[in-house]
Amino acid sequence: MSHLHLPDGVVPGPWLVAGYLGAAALLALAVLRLRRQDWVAALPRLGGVAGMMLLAMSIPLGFLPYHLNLTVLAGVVLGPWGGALAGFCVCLLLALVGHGGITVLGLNTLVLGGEAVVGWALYRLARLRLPPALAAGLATLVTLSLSMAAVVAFLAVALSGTGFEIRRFLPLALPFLGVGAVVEAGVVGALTGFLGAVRPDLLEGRVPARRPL
Amino acid sequence: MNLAFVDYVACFDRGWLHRAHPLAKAFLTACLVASAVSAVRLWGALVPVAAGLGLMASARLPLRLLKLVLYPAFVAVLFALGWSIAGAALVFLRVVAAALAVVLLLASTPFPCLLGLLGRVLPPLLVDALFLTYRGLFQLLGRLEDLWRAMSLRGGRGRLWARPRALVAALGVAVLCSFSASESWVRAMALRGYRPGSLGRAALAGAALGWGGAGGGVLPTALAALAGPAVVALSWWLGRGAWG
Repeated sequence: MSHLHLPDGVVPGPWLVAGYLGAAALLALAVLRLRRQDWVAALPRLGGVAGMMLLAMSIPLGFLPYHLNLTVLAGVVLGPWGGALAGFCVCLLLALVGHGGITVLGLNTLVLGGEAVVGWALYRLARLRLPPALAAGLATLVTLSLSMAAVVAFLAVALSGTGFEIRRFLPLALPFLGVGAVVEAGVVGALTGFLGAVRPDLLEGRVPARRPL
Repeated sequence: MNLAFVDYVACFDRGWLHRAHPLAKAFLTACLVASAVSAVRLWGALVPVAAGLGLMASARLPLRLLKLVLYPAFVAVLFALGWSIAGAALVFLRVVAAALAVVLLLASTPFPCLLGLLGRVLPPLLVDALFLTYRGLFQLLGRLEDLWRAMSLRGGRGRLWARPRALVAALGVAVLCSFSASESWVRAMALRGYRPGSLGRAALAGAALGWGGAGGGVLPTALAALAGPAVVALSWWLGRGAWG
């Protein structure tokens, strides 16, 4: 569901304000955490992963009106806080090209940032039993399912009383999103497997502690 | 790649909107978005759409930019189907109008100037992250283009989709190269005195310089600043009751 990037003009005002406040809290935490790390290593990695997410989001998957977003991979490589920051950077840049709204930037950041945080946690859990590729694929599938459920629940609550009928919306959106989630799980699993084989240090989800130059 | 084209248009086109101060353009965009999302009648939502198209034409921005509005329009259709016909049309127009407004801003303002504006409200570390994201995207695009060209020359491009493992390896290598190039770049910057936040501050200073250097004018700035409230007022007048 997060792949729809809620557009402007759909969600009522109070929810937009709540979204901005929630995203501000999440980003403040993330910036504080990043400051404690070696930012010379953390920032370029963040830029690289967020750039990769932007690129993935700009490529439609053939006949499916869907694109990858790679938020779980961002969580795996950058850790939960770095992943949340990458989610914000991607949401803001996409909003500037009309993909996802500028007024719903807070809500979209919470969705993408939340996916990175949950994806990271599930990946760490799955890694106790599974190899990196399988763990990442499984974490992606579960995270995207949870994210879809959360956004559907949010839409049902936020748009109640506006005449919006979620029962008409779901049959149209869910098939695309379900197939897309499976494709994304495969891609994230394969990319994680490759990174695990070539640069296993990247999958630890953190950068070294701050050090002098 | 749409973003590369938008970046080119923002940096090298010379319409009147390009010569307006970035702050005035941001205000104009904010007004267009506000009038779009707050419209409760069709006429009220049509005004920012018409204004966006009119501004685009008058600033001589390429029509190809309208492609950027297609994805939000598709998403709008998905959402709109949850409403009755009148509600669906209103939601569709709101989404399209807001998307047009932000595309107008991005296509007429070079990204460093936008970063300068964002640097006024965001923490410096976030501004740096945004800058590196933008740079990371173009770096990755360059790597992938090189890779694509090399594969074409070797005649392997057609078969690549049939070999997903090779495709993943190619993507993975491009990503790793992008990481290491960014790391080297930031380390080189750090040796020259870069500290978190200095990119945002530099962009802020560059925004002012860039405006003057690009032949920035008082008239385009005044026009952009006045167009915003005019659209809001017209939208309110045509869709009376919009605020009540």
